[in-house]
Amino acid sequence: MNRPPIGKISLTFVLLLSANGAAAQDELIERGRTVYADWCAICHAPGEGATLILEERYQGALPAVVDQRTNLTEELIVARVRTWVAPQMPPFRQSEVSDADLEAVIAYLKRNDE
Amino acid sequence: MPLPPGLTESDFSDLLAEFRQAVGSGYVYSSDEHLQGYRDGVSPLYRTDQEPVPSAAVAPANVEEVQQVIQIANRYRIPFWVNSTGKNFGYGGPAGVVNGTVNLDLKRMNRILEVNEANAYALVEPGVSFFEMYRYLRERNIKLWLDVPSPGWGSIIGNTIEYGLGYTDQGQRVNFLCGMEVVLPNGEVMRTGQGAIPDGVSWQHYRRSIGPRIDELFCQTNYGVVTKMGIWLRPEPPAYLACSIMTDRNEKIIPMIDTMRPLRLGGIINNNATLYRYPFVQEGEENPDNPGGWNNRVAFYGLEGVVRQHWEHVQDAYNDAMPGTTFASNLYTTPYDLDSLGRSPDRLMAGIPSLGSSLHKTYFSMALPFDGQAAWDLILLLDEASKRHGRRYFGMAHHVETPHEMITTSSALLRPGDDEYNQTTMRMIRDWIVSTGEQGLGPYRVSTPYMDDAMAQFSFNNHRLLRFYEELKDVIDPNGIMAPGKNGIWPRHMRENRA
Repeated sequence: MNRPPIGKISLTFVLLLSANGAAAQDELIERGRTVYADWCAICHAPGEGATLILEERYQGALPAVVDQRTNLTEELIVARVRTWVAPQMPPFRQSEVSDADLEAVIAYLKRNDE
Repeated sequence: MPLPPGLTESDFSDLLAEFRQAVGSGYVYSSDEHLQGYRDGVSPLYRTDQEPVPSAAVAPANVEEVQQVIQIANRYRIPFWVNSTGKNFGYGGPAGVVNGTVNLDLKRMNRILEVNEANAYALVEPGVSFFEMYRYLRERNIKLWLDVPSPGWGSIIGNTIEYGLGYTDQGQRVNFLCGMEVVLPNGEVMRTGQGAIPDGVSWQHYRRSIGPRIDELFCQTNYGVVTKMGIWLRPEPPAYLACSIMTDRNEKIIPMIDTMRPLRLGGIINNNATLYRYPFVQEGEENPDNPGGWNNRVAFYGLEGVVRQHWEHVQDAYNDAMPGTTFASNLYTTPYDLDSLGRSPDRLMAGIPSLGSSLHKTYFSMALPFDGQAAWDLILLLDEASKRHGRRYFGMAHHVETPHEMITTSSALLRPGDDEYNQTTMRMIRDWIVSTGEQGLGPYRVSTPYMDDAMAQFSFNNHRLLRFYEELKDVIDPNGIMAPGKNGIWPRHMRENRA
């Protein structure tokens, strides 16, 4: 029986898995970018209302445009999207930003994490 | 979260199972986390023991699923409250009046069913937001403009049937509504106007059938779920001139409005012109004693030569009546580069949605004669009422939605978590409602905590109007399931709940 060496198969398999994983992650990030554009950028794009508030609050210590941040935790993003955050940001319903959309937004916002 | 009124835990579990069967298990929400978005975080009652909290939310995908949900609600006799999409800040958010209400969330019904460029109309479902319609038109290079409120993430249907206002010459948007599909409280589907003809070809062209036009029975009421609506749009004008007329003192609102009136009546000014306090000062510092002033925002649409001529005529009228008035204007012509407007206030009068709403205010808005003295007297009246509660009056905007009346939007601040402050705000707004009612003035739109107070002002002949509304309610919705308490209209079995 013509069998390739086991080690070679495993390496190919791992590389394939890795490539698939990276592609899936890229796809998730792209979906997150779209969700962000549809629901978040309305307030959080440069020059928009929430950005102006955050500029005032951070005074340059952190980027005021949310998708330029590199230190947002998953817990913080979920809390901001799903619960009332005093004083300014309303929660978004499942029918607006589904759990799958939220997962994609998290991937997008954490794409450049250090 | 609370149970719907009259249901046991076991009943509620059965109810949720039936909802899941109707709309799919992924679209019935009952966890604390998922119900946060169905509460009104901009309510003075938020997180108090008086807050009406939803028991569940259901998001149907189509009219058949809406029918099924309503039939289930009838079987269990549980109240539901309709929420199309958006936030409804300051007017009650998505939350109902009754604790344990189920929220009927229509966001998934988000199809733009038709846009007819030649005849300038659209047919939409309730989940379609102003942003979505705006993108749809721009992406397809359809040369139609849409009247939008601020902010633009709200539902075209939801905002229009709550009598939401825009800023263009279609700013009293409800008058550009043409044809509805409604699921009645017994689950039947009805179409209004020409839509009542099977495959009626004039549904979005002619607004009546034979007999009365009944679309407004479904505006600010609890008689049905609007699942489709026609809305007239406006063709892109060859020129758009956005203008500001500014005065330097508060009391000049009197000549300012009186100068505008004949221009509006005569068709020179045609848009939903607005008057805002100007220059802006910090909320809480603004009161009638501040010198302040006003910015009157008007727009002209049409041929460039005509809009220029109208603007010159308007400036002459203000210069004659009010020497010292200052003016500013921006002219836009085809081909438009609407993105170049950026964050300019000119966006709204061109029907470009944005976000201009500020949170943690509660609104109280009323209808007023188109009269300068009436506007000034109202400011002084509301300030006197505010002083009785240790506050001063601020936050006045006037929307000249027709040549005959103005809508005034008043707002009062809330402080998240400060129950004493928020209770004072509620008492003050109730005082505003009663004080203005005593002067013969009535609300245009209020937030849920004050709906009974607002309706109580319409008391002619022992509240005959409200009794008429409730006689209709009893016939159309005998189980009283649909939005009980909406604008003070209660079903028979809940009338003891009236505040």
